[in-house]
Amino acid sequence: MKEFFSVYGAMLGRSVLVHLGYVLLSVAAGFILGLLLGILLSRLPARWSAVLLPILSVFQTIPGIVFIGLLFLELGMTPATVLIALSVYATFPVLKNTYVGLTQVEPRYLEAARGCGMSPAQALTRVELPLALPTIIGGLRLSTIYTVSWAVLASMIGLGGLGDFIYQGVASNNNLLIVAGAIPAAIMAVVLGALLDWLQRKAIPRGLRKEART
Amino acid sequence: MIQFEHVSKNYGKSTILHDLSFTVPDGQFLILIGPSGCGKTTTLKMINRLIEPDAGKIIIDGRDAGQMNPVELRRHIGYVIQQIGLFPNMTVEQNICVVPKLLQYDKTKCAQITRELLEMVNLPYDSYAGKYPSELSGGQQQRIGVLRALAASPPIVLMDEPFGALDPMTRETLQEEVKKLQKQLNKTIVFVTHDMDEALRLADTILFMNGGKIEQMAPPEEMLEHPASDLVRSFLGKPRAAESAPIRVEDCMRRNPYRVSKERGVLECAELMARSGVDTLLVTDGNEKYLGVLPIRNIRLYGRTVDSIVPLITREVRTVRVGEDARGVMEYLMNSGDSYVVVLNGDDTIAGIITKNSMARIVASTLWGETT
Amino acid sequence: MSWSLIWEHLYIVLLSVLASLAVGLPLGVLAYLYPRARRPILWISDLFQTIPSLALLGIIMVFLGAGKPTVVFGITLYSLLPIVRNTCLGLSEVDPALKEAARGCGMNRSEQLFRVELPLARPVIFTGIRIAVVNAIGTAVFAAFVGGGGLGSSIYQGIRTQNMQLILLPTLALMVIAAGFDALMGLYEKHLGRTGGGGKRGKLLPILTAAALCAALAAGTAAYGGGKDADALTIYDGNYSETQILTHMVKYLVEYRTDLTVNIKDQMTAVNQFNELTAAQPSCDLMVSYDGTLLTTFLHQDTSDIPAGTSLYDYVNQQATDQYGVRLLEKLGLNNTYAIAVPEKIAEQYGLNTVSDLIPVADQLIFGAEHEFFTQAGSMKYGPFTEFYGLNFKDAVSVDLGLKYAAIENGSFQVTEVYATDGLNRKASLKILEDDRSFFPEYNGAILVRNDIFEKFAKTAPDLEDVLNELGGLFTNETMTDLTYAVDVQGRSVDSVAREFLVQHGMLG
Repeated sequence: MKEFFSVYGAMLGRSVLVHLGYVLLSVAAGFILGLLLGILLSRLPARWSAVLLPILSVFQTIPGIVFIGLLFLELGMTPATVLIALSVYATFPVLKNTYVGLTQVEPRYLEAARGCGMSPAQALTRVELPLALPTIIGGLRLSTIYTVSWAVLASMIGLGGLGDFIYQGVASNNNLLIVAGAIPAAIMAVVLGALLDWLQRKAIPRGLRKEART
Repeated sequence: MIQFEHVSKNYGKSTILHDLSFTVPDGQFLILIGPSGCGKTTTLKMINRLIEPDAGKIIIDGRDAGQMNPVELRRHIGYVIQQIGLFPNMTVEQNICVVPKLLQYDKTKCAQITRELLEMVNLPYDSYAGKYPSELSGGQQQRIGVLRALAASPPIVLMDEPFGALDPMTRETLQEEVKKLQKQLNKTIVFVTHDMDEALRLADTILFMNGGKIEQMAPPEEMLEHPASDLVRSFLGKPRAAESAPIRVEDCMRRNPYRVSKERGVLECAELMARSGVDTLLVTDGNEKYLGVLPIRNIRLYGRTVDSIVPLITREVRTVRVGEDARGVMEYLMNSGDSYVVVLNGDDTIAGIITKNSMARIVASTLWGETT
Repeated sequence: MSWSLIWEHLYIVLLSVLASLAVGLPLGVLAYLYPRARRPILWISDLFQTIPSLALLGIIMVFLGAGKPTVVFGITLYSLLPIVRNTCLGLSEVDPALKEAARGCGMNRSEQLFRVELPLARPVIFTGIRIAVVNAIGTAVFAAFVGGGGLGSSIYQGIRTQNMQLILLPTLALMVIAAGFDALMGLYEKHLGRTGGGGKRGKLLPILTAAALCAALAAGTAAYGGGKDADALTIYDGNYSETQILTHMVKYLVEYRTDLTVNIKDQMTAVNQFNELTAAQPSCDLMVSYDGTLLTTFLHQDTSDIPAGTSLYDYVNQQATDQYGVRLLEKLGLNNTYAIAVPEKIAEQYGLNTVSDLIPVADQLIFGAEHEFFTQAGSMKYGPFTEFYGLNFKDAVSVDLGLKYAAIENGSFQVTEVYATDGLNRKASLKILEDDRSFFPEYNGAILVRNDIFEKFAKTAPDLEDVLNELGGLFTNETMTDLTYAVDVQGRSVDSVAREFLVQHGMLG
C-alpha cells in the first residue's frame, strides 16, 4: 500500500484535482444553462415540450464517449473539449427537472400570484421557482453524479482525471490501478451527492417539507 | 365604484356574458349568484382583468380598467380564491405582505400591517406570523387569505367562493368575520357564491345571473319577497323560520276579540266578561274606532262608583298597526309581562289582538306546517 | 456495424434488467414491509448508481474478469435503484383505505400483498422498470471496454479509425432503440394508469411479453452463452484489426480444413486473453500474440534476460511452456514491433530519420501514446525508452488507444509510438523513424496455444497443428499493413478481408 502511494501518490492527487475541476466547472455551466432553458421551456405551450422532452431524454442516452469522441475530432485535445461535452451532458437533468418542477406548481398558486398583482417575472421568482426548488436541486444532484461518472472519459483523450488510473488498469489488467481510480471517483460522487442532499434540505422552507415528496 | 357597461364575453361559439351592465356603489357588499355556467365567476374575474371582455367597458372609480396596466390594477384590488392559494413557501407574515412588498412598502410598515390585521381576526402575531400555511387549519388559512387581500388597503376586494372548501361551522364563522371586516373597513366587496343562504346573510345587494345575463339585482329582502322569476324563486327554496319573509302582526292575531261600545253599562260588561271567560274587553266609540280596553280589574275596583264604563277605560295597552312586523310584538310579549297587544287597522278600527297563545300557534304552523 | 451487434447489445440489456428485477423487486417489497430496512436498502441502491459506471465495471472486473458476466453484473447493480425505489414507492402510495379494506376482509399479509397492494402499485413499479431499461441501454455501451461487445465496440472502432459513420450509426441505433423502448413502455404505462391493469387485455399483454422475453433469453444464451463445446475451438477476438484479421483467418482455415467449429467470442485485450488462456479454468484455447509481448508483458522479463546465443523466440517458448503450459506456433512472418513515428511534415521540418535524430530537438516536441505505453510495468514503455535514448520531451500525454491517431493528426502531439504494421500509419502520413540503437525488440507474430489443445481436439482435428502452421511465414510487414489498411481506413469488414486473403493464397479451395 505504502509503495503504491509513493509511486502514484502525486499522480493520484493531481488526477483527483483535475477530475474535481472538470466536474465543478461543467456542472456549474450545465446548471445555469439547464435552469434558463428549463424556465424557457415551461413558458412555451405544452405542444413544444411534448415533442422536445422525449428528444432530450433520448439525447441523454447518447454515450458520453460518443460526444467526447466527436468533439475531440473537431476541437482536438484541449480541456475545452471535455468541458463542453460535460457541460452539455450536465444540462439535461437540470433542464428536465426545472421544467417538471415549474409545471407541477399547482394552478391555484399561479392564480393567487397573478391575482395579487405580480408580474409574470415576479410570479416566477417569488412563487414558482421557490416551489420548484426541491425538484430543481434534485436535478442538480443527478447532474453532478452523472458528471463525475462521465468525467472519467476525459482521460480517453489524454486530459487527465481519475480515468487515467482506470484506463491503464483495465488495459494492463492491473487491479490496483483500477481500484485506485474507481474508489476516489466513487467517494467523490458520494460526497458531492451528500452535499447536494444537504443543500436540498436547506433549500426547502419548513412550510414545504410536509408537502415535499422524495 | 365599479361600473359594467355592455360587457360581453364569448368562448368560441358560446356566449358567456351577454351585454352586461350594472353598477356597484362604494362600500357595498355585492354578491354574484346563479346556476353553474351563468357567468358569475367570469364577471368577477373581469374586474381585475384575469379575464378580458370581448366587448364593453369596465369602469373602476372613474377610470377604464381596460386602459390600465393589469398588473398595477391587481395590486389595488384584493383577490381571494376558493382554493385559498396561500404560498406554501412563505410564512403567514410573508403571505400577508405580498402586495405591500410589491408596492414597495418598507419592512416596519409591513410588520405593522400584519400585526393589525392578525389582531382583527384574533390570531396573535407572535404565534402566527412565523407559521407556514401547512401548519394551519383550513379555516385559519382562508382567514389569512382574506387578510392577504386586505393588506394593501385596496378599496375593492374580490372573493371567488372563498368559503366553499370549508366545513359549515368554519364557514359560518368566517362569513361573520368578513361581514364585520367589510363594515369596519368600508370596503367594496364583490363576492361569488352558489350558496343562497350565504348570499342572503352577507349581501347588501344580490346580483342573480343566468346564462350571462342579469336575472335580478336587488337587496336580499326584496329578492325574497319579490323574486323576479321562477328560477330565482327556486333558488330561494322553502322559506325557513329565520330567513323567510317577516311575519306580520295580522298573521298571528286573533280576529274578532270581544269588544263593546262605550255606551254599554258596567254591569253588562262584567256579565259579558264572566260569560265569555275573558278578563278584558276592547272598547270602541260610535264609529267603531278604538278607544281603549276595559280590564275586569278596573270594574272590580271602581265599578260601584261609576255608571258608565268610560272612566274605566285605559289606553295603557300597547297597540300596533296592521302590516307591522310581528317579531317586535313577540319580543315585547316575552319580556314585558303583558298578556296581549291590540292590532289596529289604518283607520283605527280594531283588527284583532295578539296573545301569547295566538303567537305560539302561528310560530308552530310556520315551523311545522298547519296545526289544528 | 451489424445487426449482430445490436442483438448482442439488447441481450446484455435484457439479461441485466431481468436480473435487476429478480433482485430489485423483492428488495423493494422488503423495504416497504420493514421501514427500518428501507433506508439502508435505498441507500445502497443509490450508492451503486452513484459510482461512475466505468469505475464500477472496473471494480467488478477485478473479481469476475473480463467479458459479459462483468457487464451484466454491473448493469444489474446500476439498474437496482429505479426498480427498488419505485417498488417501495408504489406500494406505499396505494390508497390506505384499500389496504385497510383488504385487512378488514380477512386477508393475511401475503394475500394483501399479492392480491391488492402489488397489483395496485403496478403502474409506478412499471415506471421504474422503464427507467431502468432506458438507462441500461445507454450504460451497456461500456461493455466494449471490458470485453462485453455490443454497440459500444462499434462506436469505439469508429473513434479509433476516425470513421464518422461508424460513430454515428450505432449512436443513432442506440437512440432509436432507447426511444422505441421508452415510447412503447410509456404507452403501456399509460394504459396501466388508466385501467389499473385489470381486464382481459391487462392479463394478456404481460403474458405475451413474458413469453417473448423467455424466447429472447433462450436465443441469446444459445448465441452468446459461451459454453465450451468439446467440438469447438474458442478464441477471443482481438481488440485491434491485426489481431482480429488473424483470428478470423484461423477460424476460416480451421473450419475449412477440419471438422472443428471455431467460436470467436467477445473482443478482449491481450492481457486479459492471456489470463483466460492460462487460467485454471481456461475459457479460450488460443490467441494471436507476439514473442516480444510474451517476453515483456506476460513473462515480465526483458531482452537482457535472454541468454546469449538463444533467439528471443526460442527463449520465450521454453519459458512459456515451463511456466504456463503455452507455446508459440510458427512465426507468421510479420514483426509488429513498436516504432517511433512522426508526421511527415515534422520529419521534414526537423530532418528526422532515426530515433537518435530526435535527441537534440526533443524539448520542442510533445510525445503522445496510448495509456498502455505509460504503465510502470514492463520495459517496453515510455520510461525506459526515453531513458535509453536520453530523450527529454517537452511533454508526454497519454490518450486512449482509439484516439491516438486522431490526436497526432490534429497536432495534439508530434511524436508517437506506433505498431509497425498498422495501416493507420499510412493514413496519417506518418514516417517511421529507424530504431537505430535497437531499443525495441522483435515482435514476431505467432499463434499462442495452450499445449493441451491438440490432444483435446485430437478426434475432430487430428492435424490441427499443421493446419494452424499453414499460416506460418505467410505474411510480411507490408502485406499485413495492407490488410489493416483495408479494414481501418477503407472500412472493409474484417471477415471479408481475412477471407479474401486466404482465397488469394489458395487456402480455401
